[in-house]
Amino acid sequence: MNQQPILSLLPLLVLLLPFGGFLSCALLRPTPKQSGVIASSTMGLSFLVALLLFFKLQQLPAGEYIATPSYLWLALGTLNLKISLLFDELSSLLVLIVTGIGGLIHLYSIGYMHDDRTPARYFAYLNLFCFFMLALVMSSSLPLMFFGWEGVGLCSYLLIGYWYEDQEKALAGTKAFIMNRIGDLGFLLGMFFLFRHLGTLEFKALTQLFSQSLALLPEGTLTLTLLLLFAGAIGKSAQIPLATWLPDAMSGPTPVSALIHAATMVTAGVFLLARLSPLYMQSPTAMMTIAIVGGVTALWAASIALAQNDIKKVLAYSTVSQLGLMFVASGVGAFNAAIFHLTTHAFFKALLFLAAGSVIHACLGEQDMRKMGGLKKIIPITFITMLIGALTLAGIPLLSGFFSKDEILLAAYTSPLSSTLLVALIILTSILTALYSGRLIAMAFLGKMRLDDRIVSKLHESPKIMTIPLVTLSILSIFGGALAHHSAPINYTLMIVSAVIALVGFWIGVKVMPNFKLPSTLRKTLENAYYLDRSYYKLMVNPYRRLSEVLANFLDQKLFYDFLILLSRLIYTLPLGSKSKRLFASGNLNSYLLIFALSFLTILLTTFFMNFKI
Amino acid sequence: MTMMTESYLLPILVLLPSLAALLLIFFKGRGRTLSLLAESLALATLLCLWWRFDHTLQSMQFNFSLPWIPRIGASLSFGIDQLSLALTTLSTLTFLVVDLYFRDDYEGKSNLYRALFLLVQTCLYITFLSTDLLLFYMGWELALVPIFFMILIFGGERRKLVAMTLFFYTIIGSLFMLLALIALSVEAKSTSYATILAQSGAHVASFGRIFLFLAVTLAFLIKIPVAPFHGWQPLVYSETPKRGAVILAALLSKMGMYGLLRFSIPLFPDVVRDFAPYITALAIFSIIYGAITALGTNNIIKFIAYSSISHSGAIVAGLFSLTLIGISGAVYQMFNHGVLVVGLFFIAYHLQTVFNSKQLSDYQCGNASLARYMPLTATYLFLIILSSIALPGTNSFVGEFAILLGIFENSTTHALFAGTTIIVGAVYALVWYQRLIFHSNQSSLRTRAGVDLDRTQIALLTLLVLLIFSIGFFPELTLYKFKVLFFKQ
Repeated sequence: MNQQPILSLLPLLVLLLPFGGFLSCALLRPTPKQSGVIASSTMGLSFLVALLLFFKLQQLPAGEYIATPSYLWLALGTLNLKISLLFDELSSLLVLIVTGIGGLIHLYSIGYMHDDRTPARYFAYLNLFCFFMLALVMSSSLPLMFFGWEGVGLCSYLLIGYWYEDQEKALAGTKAFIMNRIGDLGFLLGMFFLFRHLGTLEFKALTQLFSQSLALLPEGTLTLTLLLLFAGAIGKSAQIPLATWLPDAMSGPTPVSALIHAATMVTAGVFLLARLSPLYMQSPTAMMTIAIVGGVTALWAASIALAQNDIKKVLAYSTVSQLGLMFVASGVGAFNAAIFHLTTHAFFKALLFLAAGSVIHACLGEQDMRKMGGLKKIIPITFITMLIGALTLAGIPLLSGFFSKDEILLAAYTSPLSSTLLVALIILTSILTALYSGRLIAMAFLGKMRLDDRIVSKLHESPKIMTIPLVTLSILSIFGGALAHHSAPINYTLMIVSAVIALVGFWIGVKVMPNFKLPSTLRKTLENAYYLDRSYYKLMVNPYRRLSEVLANFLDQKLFYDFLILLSRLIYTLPLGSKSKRLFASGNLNSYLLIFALSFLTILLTTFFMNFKI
Repeated sequence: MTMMTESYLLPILVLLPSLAALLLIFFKGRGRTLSLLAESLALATLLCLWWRFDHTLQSMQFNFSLPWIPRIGASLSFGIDQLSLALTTLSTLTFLVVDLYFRDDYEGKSNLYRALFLLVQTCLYITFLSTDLLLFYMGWELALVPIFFMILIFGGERRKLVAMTLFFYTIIGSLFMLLALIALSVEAKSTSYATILAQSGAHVASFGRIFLFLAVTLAFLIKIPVAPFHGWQPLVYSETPKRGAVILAALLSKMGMYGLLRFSIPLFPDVVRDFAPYITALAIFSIIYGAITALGTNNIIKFIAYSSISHSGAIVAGLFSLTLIGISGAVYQMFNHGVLVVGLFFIAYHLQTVFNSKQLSDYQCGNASLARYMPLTATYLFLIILSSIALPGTNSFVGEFAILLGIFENSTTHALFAGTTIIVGAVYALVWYQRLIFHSNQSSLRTRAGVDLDRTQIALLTLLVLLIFSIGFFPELTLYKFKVLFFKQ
């Protein structure tokens, strides 16, 4: 697609810089300070190269893109998997988000992980994550994307369970990986279907095929294929029914939650749909399923966020909910709106998590909002930045979140693929979002101070290395709306409705919600996330565990092991065996050698004898 | 290198270890030097083979033949193709690495033990390289004899019972196989593989062929083993002395897979087509059964045994997909699984040496996790586990991806069930890893310090890990000599 060889290799440089950072952090045993510097600077460099590429891309004619030379990864029979890196309109945006926000979060981590025992390990994982994420977004074909897809899952596992000696944290990592794998089976099978029917797994080839002719494969098969791939997205982006890993994933360090579980990895599902949008547009059934799953998840998670008291859990459920909105947008065909919201969400949710991290850092690890309060004056920068984040999340007019959410609402309102149900789900979600955003701010920062005196005496604003990323992200959250390119005419009624919802909702959230008592059954249901996780344990996890114990300790033990021992004991006591028993037991090396030679000979002779007789 | 000298490469490879074994029996001492010398020479021979092997041909190369028993048409003949090369490479590497890794184990001080170890190597080479049925059968059977004595002389507490178990289990399969091989040879009036292959499917009535197919296949399935024929395996693995267990898991199990692809599938093309779905179903059962049972066991060697059952199930399913992609993936995966299982055993035996136990509950250092006390062990085990869960970028992903795609080409349903391997495989591997490495017992009374890996162990494990990732990232560059080029059914 391009003639300049150096330019076409630059995406590889973007990818390999974080990998180099990973290798140096993992192998060269840097000091804590060095590891932070290495990791952050490789991300910074990577971001600069990505910016350069971005400007080069703008100079190319529309529809053109930058791609590295392709490399033959595996060829077997008709399978011919070539991989290369793609820097086009879609991936350029994601690359900038990953390297840019990723870089900021690396910087922030230097401050946040200040007292950690093994920062080199942390930064190695973080850099490795960025490597896989970049491979995911720049991949030219599904298999390479799957490589990044599983790789980010691995890093997520490693970072959620970063403090592995806490069994619950380690378990949360394992759980995240396994639930993702359930979705990944769908991804894999979807890939196989595409290969069987179309013979290629490369995005550009697939897009071209689908732009040329419509009925490439039977509608039912296409829908099944696309839903299987969507199953992968459900796992990675924590939608119902595979949503329960994300709240547990909060046991990782907070910058990790910001980077992986808010800004980048969890949005991979939305990205996958956007990449394959020409295919999805061919299947109304698949689209409808996506929109409904997204809408239901959005409302489900938003209602839970309203009743959580752990500051990170609120944000986690909020992320699930916002991802749901992105799927609604994808499902009604507004992939641009989905990616736009993905971008603004990356800004403000990373900001919210980092600010929450700053709060937790200040409160010496306390995460329960019921024990906070009154922090406004003591940590002002954190307060202001977090307020900006919350307002953006709530969709207050003129902040970036307002525009992106408005585009989704507009798409749901006008798209022929949409329905009233979806519009209602979005509006309800928006109301709840505004409520819990306000509640969060009020509980953490306003009102009376409820912290222990022990903590109060040590309260402090975070160092500059942490506040600079906060301020940068605040600016992005405020002005990020400028990135929008409006395709549809603006609908002022809708805009006014959502503005009113946001303003009133947020105000009620601040004033009423912190002291509002929900009926206790409802509160318990919400606090336990509708008992979804618990029922998985009851119906799946525990029976599986019990089955494994029965198989290992009873079935295999009794049926095979004990039975065999009985059998060999029987044979052993036969008259024939008794002579050899003495031989075996003698311990004399010569007799063993004799037996050895004899049996060698016996087998040889038997073979010959049997053949000669023929 | 001329054609003449080239054709001697295979017999040289076959004889090298047994010559060394003979010397070891008759001379006292110097066991380590001698056996290492033999292993290195074998490696050199292998490198020559690699260098001269023409991967664009799918036929037996380096053919060597000596008349043996003319009356029945048997000859001492060897040849090598992609499948044989893959398994010969795996054997040579495994024996070398194992010999280096367990350099000062107690049994290794005995020359007899080393001799037995080397004899297995010869038998494996005979099995993988012979182009004569009689010779193949000899290699197949004789491989068990040294293992049998290894267990009997150097094994654990219940060694006699275990040796018996192994013996009776495999002898049942072998007897059937012997009958079938004899029938095939009689039919072809020769024991030459090429002759029999050329006549396959020609004369015998279909009922007879079904019986013959089942007879050989059963022997192979027991050897691998595929559930429910696996009864002997967890027991035998956990009672066999170290080297023997590694060889059993990495190589003897591959003998069964080799047999399936060399005999069951090409010699009975018509029968295979009818039986493939059932055998695939059995293999899928094996994948899931092994994975679930591995989660429940508390013995680290049995854990490896069950995980092997699960992984082997996938390979067998790939073979019986009867598609080119599935079969070539299975051949890749035979090699990959060998590398993986050697790594697992290395770590497991290190833990066993340090803690003097195979039980999970005994693996404790003070009151902190192994990850803290034995960080290198933890890291290497994790990297090997990545291969076990077939993460993209590791060698196993290459194999399992192709296997699953092959199965999918044949049957979507089978692919769906076989595909659960990526879920159940992750469950047992990661849960076990957490129990083993991250678990810390605050109330533990043990204060024993962990002993981390020493330099040799690090070097060898690094080699394995490099192999895992270089194959994962560059399968075309690393595995191209093992690539099956065509498969006609």
